[in-house]
Amino acid sequence: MTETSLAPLRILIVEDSEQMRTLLEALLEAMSITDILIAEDGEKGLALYMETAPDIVITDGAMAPMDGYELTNRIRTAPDNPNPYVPIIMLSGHLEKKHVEKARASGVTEYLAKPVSWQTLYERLVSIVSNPSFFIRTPTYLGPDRRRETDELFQGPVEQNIAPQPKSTAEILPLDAIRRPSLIRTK
Amino acid sequence: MLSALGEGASMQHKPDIAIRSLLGGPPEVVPVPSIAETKGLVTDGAHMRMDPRILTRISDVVSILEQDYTKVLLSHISDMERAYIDGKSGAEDTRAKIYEIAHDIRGVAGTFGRSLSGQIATRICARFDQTPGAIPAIEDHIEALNHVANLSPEPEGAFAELVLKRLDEPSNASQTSTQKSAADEMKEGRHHD
Repeated sequence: MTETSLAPLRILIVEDSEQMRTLLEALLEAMSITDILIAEDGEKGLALYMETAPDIVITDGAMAPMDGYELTNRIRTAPDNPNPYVPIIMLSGHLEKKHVEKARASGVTEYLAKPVSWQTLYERLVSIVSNPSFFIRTPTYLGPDRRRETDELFQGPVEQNIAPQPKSTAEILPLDAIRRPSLIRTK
Repeated sequence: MLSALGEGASMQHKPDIAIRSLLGGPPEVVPVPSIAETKGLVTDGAHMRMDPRILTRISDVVSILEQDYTKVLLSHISDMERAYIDGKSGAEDTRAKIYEIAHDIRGVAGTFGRSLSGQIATRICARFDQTPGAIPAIEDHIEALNHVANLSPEPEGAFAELVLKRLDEPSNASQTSTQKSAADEMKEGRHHD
């Protein structure tokens, strides 16, 4: 095991609350991350994302003029996006099922409930950085594979249509260590 | 024909796949290497873990921010109270302003160890959600917030639950001066401590 240095990461924060922006920036700096980009809404966030290609996006849910759900969807589907698989952590005070489902449909990687515990945020960042993941691409969805168990209906190379596994990924982690994010975490 | 029947039978056994095929073929599963790999943060396939020194550093940062946040919280509550009074006088845009402040407190307060403030703010947001287009009665909520924000540490456990329970009571919105408010409960509770 290697203690994580997150210092080389570039992280984009998209958050309309000044307090939350200050808090997140301070927390990331405490994690030795200095390359932090900040936008106040989804529209500015998307522009900054396309311009700077951050390694991770941390976004609020409810914002205007563009909310975090649309931002996520646009990042996942923009044809000129160099990295549609970028991890997106959504922080939201809205825990109702409809919001969680909306976040899921838009393709977020993690949905963390506000108030966010700083330990949870650090733990999720380390997990996202250190674990490989699988994405599902269909005509209507691009986002993390949320299946927790092997789906019999997806057995076989034709139906599964899996691209060749990167050698290094397979060597680094056993199958059960591959990240299968649950959608909502409250602690 | 047999082939067609065979396909039909196959679709019955695997309806999920059949639907996916109709929508444009089976989903593509894309393996995405970890950021640690792509940025060269680990070598020799090592797995990463949390750094205890960073945990300590974050804890220190949060402690400092907690002190600053108390001032911000009190300022937020003051702004909310002012907006609420203005709203009662018919001033425009106060509804959105109060909701925005409450939403902010709801999202941030808990991270700074002010869980009860966050929960009171959550109840304010809920009241607004339940009364679209109007400003609901939240005098008690603001008063309770004012008391809670001035306490350090904030009340927890049974006492906090009692305060929230009082705020949740349906009669709270149309409370008369003879009824005990949640804020009154709190004053008495602190008095007995």
